[in-house]
Amino acid sequence: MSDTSERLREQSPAQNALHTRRLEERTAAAPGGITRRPAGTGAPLSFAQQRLWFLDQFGSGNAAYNMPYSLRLSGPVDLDTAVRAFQALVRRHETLRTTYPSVDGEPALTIAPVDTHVWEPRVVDLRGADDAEEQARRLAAQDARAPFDLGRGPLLRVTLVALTERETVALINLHRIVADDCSMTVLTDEFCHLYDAFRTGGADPLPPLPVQYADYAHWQREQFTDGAANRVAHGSAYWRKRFSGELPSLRLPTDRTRPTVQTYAGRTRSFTLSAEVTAGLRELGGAANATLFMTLLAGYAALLHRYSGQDDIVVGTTVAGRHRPETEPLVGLLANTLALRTDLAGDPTFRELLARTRQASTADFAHQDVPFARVVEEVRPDRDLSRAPLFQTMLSLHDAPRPTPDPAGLRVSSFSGEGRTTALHDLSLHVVDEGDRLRCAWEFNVDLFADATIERMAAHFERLLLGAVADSDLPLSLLPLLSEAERAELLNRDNLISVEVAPDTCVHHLFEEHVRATPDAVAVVDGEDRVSYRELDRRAGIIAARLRALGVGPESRVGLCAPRCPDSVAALLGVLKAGGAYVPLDPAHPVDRLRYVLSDASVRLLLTRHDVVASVPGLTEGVSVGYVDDWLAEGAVATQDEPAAVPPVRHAEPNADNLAFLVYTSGSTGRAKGAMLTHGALMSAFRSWERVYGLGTVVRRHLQAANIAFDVFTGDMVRALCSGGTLVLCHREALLDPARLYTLLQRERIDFADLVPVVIRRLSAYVAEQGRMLDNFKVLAVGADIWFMQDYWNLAKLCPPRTRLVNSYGVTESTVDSSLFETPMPERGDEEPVPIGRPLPNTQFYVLDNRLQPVPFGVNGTLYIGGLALARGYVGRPELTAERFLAHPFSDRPGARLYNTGDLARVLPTGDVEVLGRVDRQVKLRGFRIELEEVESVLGQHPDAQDAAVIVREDALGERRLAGYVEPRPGRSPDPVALLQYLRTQLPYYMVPSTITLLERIPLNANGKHDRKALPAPAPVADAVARPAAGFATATQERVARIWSQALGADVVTAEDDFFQLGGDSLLALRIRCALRRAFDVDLPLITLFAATTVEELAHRVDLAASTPA
Amino acid sequence: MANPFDDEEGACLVLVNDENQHSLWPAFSAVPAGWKVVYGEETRKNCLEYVSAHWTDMRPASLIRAMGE
Repeated sequence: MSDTSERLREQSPAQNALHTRRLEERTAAAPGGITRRPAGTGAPLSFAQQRLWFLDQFGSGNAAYNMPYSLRLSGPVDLDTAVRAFQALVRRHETLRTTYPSVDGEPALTIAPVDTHVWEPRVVDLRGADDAEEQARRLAAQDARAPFDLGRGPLLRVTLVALTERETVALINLHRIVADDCSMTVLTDEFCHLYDAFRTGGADPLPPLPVQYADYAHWQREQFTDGAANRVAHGSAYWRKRFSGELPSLRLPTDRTRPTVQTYAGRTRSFTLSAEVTAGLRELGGAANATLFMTLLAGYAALLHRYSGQDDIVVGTTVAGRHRPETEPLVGLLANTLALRTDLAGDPTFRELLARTRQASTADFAHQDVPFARVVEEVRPDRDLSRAPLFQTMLSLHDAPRPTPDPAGLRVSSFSGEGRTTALHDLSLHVVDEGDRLRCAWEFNVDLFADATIERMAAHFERLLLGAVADSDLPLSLLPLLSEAERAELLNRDNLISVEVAPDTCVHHLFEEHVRATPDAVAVVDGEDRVSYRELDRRAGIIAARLRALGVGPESRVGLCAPRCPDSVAALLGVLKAGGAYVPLDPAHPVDRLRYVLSDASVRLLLTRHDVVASVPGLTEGVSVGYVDDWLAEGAVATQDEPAAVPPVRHAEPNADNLAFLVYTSGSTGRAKGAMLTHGALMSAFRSWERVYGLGTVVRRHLQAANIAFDVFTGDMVRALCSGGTLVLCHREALLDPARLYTLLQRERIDFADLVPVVIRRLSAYVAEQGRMLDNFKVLAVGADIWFMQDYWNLAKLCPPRTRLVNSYGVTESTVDSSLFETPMPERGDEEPVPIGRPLPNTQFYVLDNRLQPVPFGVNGTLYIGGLALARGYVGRPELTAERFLAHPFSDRPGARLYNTGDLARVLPTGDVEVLGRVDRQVKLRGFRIELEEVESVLGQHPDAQDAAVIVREDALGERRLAGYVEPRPGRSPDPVALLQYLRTQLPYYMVPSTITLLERIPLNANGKHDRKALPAPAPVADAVARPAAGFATATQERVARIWSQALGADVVTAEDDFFQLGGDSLLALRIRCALRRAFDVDLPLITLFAATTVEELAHRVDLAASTPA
Repeated sequence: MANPFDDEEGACLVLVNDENQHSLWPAFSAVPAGWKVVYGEETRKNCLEYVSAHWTDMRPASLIRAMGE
């Protein structure tokens, strides 16, 4: 944004129109104008100043609130005259002579007297220098970034830079505590008049100011202090009502991890909306009787809604606040900030959204006088240091710059310096109305967003507006964002890669090929036991023959409940050879679950061992059982004595659509569901692995680490045995003991493993500590859970450079693995998750919105998977299958299906996909992020609880609190107070609900999920019981509590009392910091008071600080 | 953002392909190639009931034929 339009950013036609109207109303309504404050009255800070002062104390030394702008004076400048003109401005405006030192943690305002005050601009003479222009630019950038000292001043800096005889630049910089955008216009105009007059020897031509800024501040304090006139009280009440209920904080997807404390480094990129869109917006607004600002607000809110998925969007804007004539000529912070809340619920049409926006913002603008600082105090938004309060984005509309009155002999224009390098919010959109076009300056926080993201967003904004202009009756969800090229890129990206899968080849056929080719090669290693391909095939053959004899064939399900051992591998191969499908079961699982799976999967026969049956009582009840140990023992005898004892039975070979195996995963409803995987899908998975990992050529020795009941077990087995490799079994004890695991990896020269993050973390730590390397791996895959770049880099350091380190992501419903990531991303933060990468061959990834349309790069959506590896569905659950395996809208194979993973994901600009977890139910309460599911799950684990639900509710005082609901187990009647006590032992205090209500039954919706809306109002819990006066554990706690009590005027009774809950605010925090300094002789950073908000936490910090020598 | 069927009130269809595989489908979206509507528009709940009642053998139709049934 250029510096000239910067000056005008608080003027918008929409607002001007309103101002005029408001002005008329005000003149009628306002009893008296602003007058000089009574002599001897201490000059107060305005609300906005106080807020800025606090922000400065909090993050002092940053330049976020600097207001740099520069003027280019073309023509011969008399530098002495220019200096005098600026000095006259400083004499004229008290604000330019005011400083704000801190006294006992409170701001004290000091105005220097005109007579004694000395203020000098800096003069830099670059005449004659070759790179004068360049040097001036550097000076401008330096000055823009140099912080102000509010306590010492001065808060106006001017540098006059003479470039040539006929070119001079005035670099002007003010702290926002003494200025707003209109002030800059005032200063420029007055400078021109003064310079003009002084140059010709005249006196100060400006009419004296009727009032000074401090008079305004005094007036404002009287108007807006508690208990003042009704009109004002009404204004505050309006905003309290407007921001009741849960306040949204804008969750735009960011390119970088949000810093825990808000930063202000920014950049601005400008784009211009086409004449077509501009004209269309004016027309659309006109038809709806809405201003251009309102129309833009609706469009901007729609964009943010599409990007964030949020229905409740708050956008800030600035109003000039100068509708009283006496404030017009002041240099000072008169501008006010408004938080405009837009309701986008129910997927409205753009026309409907515009109507809503018009209605809401008209009312909001009518209450624009209430100082924003007061609104924040009224609303008390959640404390979150990583974001600005109430809103995180701004929108403003400005008129194109108007010409400045040029002093004689000079032409004044803007000098563009470095551009803005700060951003007060995550993202702000400043629109300049240039008549037939609208110029959009996107100001963004560079710690959150990359340039390319903003560029895409700007293009999406234009496309969305174009869509709305073309058809304002489209619901927002159908407004286009993507260009054709982007859409094609998102749909096709890595989705077109395929490998051939022969139609009727099954994995056991591939195994048999290797038996014939290399019969003596080692197939399975289990400790000292080494089983050759020939031997493994022999055992598998025995089992297959017995199974066939028992009638097992295609579509028969055969359970296997046995520990990891070569015979279990033989048994699984035997099931496949017989044409059946195996259902692996872990003997360590609870017997109820095992029996559920056996019955749910309609298992025809359970393969197991005598020792397993002995250790899992009840396992075989009502199922036919085949004892693998017996069969193999008998088979061994039989083959010695009588090779043809088991007659070959003619049997049907399975085809690609027949089931190969079933795997159970836990379901959201608590009932495990069995995915049915076919031979075709498993073969496709194998061919993809073979291609991407170089199975049988690059890698040969595979670790088998996964639990037998987990689909990765099949992955390990198939990768090794279908490629002629060796499968080395790793038992659970070795897996969890890094020393043993490392020994096994080295001894067996394992070159391929697929491990879970927790194992990798332990292994990395051990190997690093031993000063060793993981030097045999060709491919090390990590998957099945989110892991972080930190883990990735730690691991990479331990592997030789040629090792392929990959993140493998998969869902059982698409046969074990679906994608892999192995692009090094050095720019990615350590704490960011490792992306899941790109789909494997024959697999397609789509990140879609709930209209099943692709979302832009970087925007969150749901991950859908298509391709040849998809499961048939869930056994016995046609309705669930139909809901998760959908008709494929983007496939060129008619009738293809697409699986909804339910994983929240996005496509990164590199093309890699990132999974962000399940679509969760996270809430924020008093600044804390709380997973309601976590609280529910802990509460539900109480022995007396059958089921539990936790929601956020407002109590009688309008305070948002957690409300817990418990459905007791039959015959139990737990005491809610006891349940709360239990939660306190399990959860941090802020996650403990305020109330627990017992319900006979927790209401469910048609979907079988909790119907949270149907939960009744919580039963009151006697507060004294719910919150026992715990007293204080240490003397420090007691003293901290006493300091709080004095500052807050409230009783602080427990160590868990929270400062902000008790009514603490930023100014009180400053006071407490001073009190702590006096009481304990410790100097805590202010931020500590925001991070440690309970007595206990703060006392701990005090003790720490006191024990650390300064 | 989780699911096109999150809106309990939204109108749904049941689609079937040549393999007699069933898919729930949001009525607002065009029916993909190779699928035809067999039920709806109806509520999500009714559509799911329809699927439960009508998709009793989840094997693909061609497999059922190949297995000689």
